[in-house]
Amino acid sequence: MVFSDVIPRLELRSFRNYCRAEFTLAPGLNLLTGANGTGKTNVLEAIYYLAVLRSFRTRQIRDLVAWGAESFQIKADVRRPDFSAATLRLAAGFGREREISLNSAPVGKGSEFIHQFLCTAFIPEDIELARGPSAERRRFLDILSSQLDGAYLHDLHQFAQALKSRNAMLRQPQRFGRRETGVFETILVRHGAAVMMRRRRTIRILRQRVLEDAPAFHGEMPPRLELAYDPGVVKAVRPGEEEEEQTLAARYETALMESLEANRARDEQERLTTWGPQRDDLALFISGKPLAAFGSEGQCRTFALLLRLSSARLLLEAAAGRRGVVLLIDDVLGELDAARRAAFWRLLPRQAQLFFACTAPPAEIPADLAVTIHPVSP
Amino acid sequence: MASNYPPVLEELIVGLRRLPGVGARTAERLALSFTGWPADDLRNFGALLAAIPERLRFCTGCGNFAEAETCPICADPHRQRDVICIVEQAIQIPAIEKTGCYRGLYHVLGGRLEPLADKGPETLRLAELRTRLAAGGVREIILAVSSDVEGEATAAWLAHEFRAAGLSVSRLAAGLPVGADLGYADAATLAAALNSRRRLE
Repeated sequence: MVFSDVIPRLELRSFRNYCRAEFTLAPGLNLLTGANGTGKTNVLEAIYYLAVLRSFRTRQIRDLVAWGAESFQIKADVRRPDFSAATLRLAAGFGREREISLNSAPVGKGSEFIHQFLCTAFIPEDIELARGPSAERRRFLDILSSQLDGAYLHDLHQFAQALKSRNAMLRQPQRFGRRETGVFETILVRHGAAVMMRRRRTIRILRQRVLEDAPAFHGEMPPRLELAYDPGVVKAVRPGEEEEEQTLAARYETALMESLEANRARDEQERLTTWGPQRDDLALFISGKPLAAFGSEGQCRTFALLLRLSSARLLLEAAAGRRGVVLLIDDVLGELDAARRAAFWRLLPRQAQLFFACTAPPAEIPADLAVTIHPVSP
Repeated sequence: MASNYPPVLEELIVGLRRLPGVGARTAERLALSFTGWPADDLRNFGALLAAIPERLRFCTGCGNFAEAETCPICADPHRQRDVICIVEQAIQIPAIEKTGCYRGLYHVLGGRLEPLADKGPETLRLAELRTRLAAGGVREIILAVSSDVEGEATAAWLAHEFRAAGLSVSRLAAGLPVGADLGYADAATLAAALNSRRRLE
């Protein structure tokens, strides 16, 4: 069954350039049209923020608050494929506590609010996935992994807290000795290994999807694409790719512990933890060579777009009729040739609610997509 | 901001704002409510506040709030003296006491290992604890610390020392709240409950 009526209504208050705005949204493809600077991307950003509790453009909350206001509010009605409905509300501002509520009941933890619907954004900055620093790919992996696995964020937070604590202790060697760092290392290793297991699993299923979807983009002479998990542990102790899942968790714990041990002297000198999941990467290759160094601009863009498209298709499988999927598309087709644009529209999943920002409706929209046009003005 | 109140109220409002969770509006409301109290009640209330530095002390043994050298729990001859329950703060003792199922003694750590908040082992009441253990007679330690990263690390750090001293060490279980519906538990809580599951006897 096709379910694409995820967000029927969206309300913004003091968000970016919107003082007060209300949108009635349609199933299928919603086109947000308007001149540059009218606030099309801001609507996409608000939807994304509600799903993921962060922006795809900024880490500064004050960037999101309208000029002259102290806080912004985003409110939306959300429907699930089983037709159960929820009202999500979020209010935040610089220097004040974030308020989130589900059906008017306040929610304490972000992890209980996040991913009420699964959301992926296609933005021009996605090219950084292909040629940017590894932090971009880790963020991509973390969001996708948390959408696929509800327990992932807990392990990630515990790991990050333990890592920050270890680094803080390394900066004060006169106060914290091996015994103190040791107890935090045990926690770092346990949750770090869980994070690595999940990231590896995410990459495995994503790889399969990408390899299936890639030919549609490349026509007759497809370059060989490859993606692999590159774990942040020292090479000598790295578990093999073919390792069984059951034994792998223990292997990652050992590898992580040994990586800490092998670099202890260096870590103590540099006062920073050298190895660990904070160094994980999603390695991308084209025709056997690293993409960032050997891929053309077009190849990088195409690969990044594929990562987004394939992960969107993964989300639909993962949601399996429990949660709706929303795709936000902002200005990513301009750089592609006609054949690749056609491939994009062909692969775009029909079971998701789609939001597409553009100055004018594109000519190549497939006939099977129900289109609703929303002229956007500030 | 120009004040609309006479100085006595104004100073009271400033004082009340130092209390946790009290903002400008609440402080104003609280201060104004005092104006309706009989003079004697106000005097008694003030005397109570003034007596805090003289009367309130900390138990020399466990670190609990006390009005004498030792707190009522340490002074109680009916308490089991071979079990010590370690808590982070004194305010956690009444919570455990309310359960009515613990009859041993306590020890207040006064914090926990929290490198990100600049709290090292030297900020904990460990010398006092070691003195108590050295005096002998303690056989079991219960670690009642929170179940976040710092709590877990502090528990592991303490357990290492106590086990070496031949004591039996346990931690409070983490998992499902009593009476909770499984369907509403978050993934992390359920995982903790699974990991510390118990065999049915």
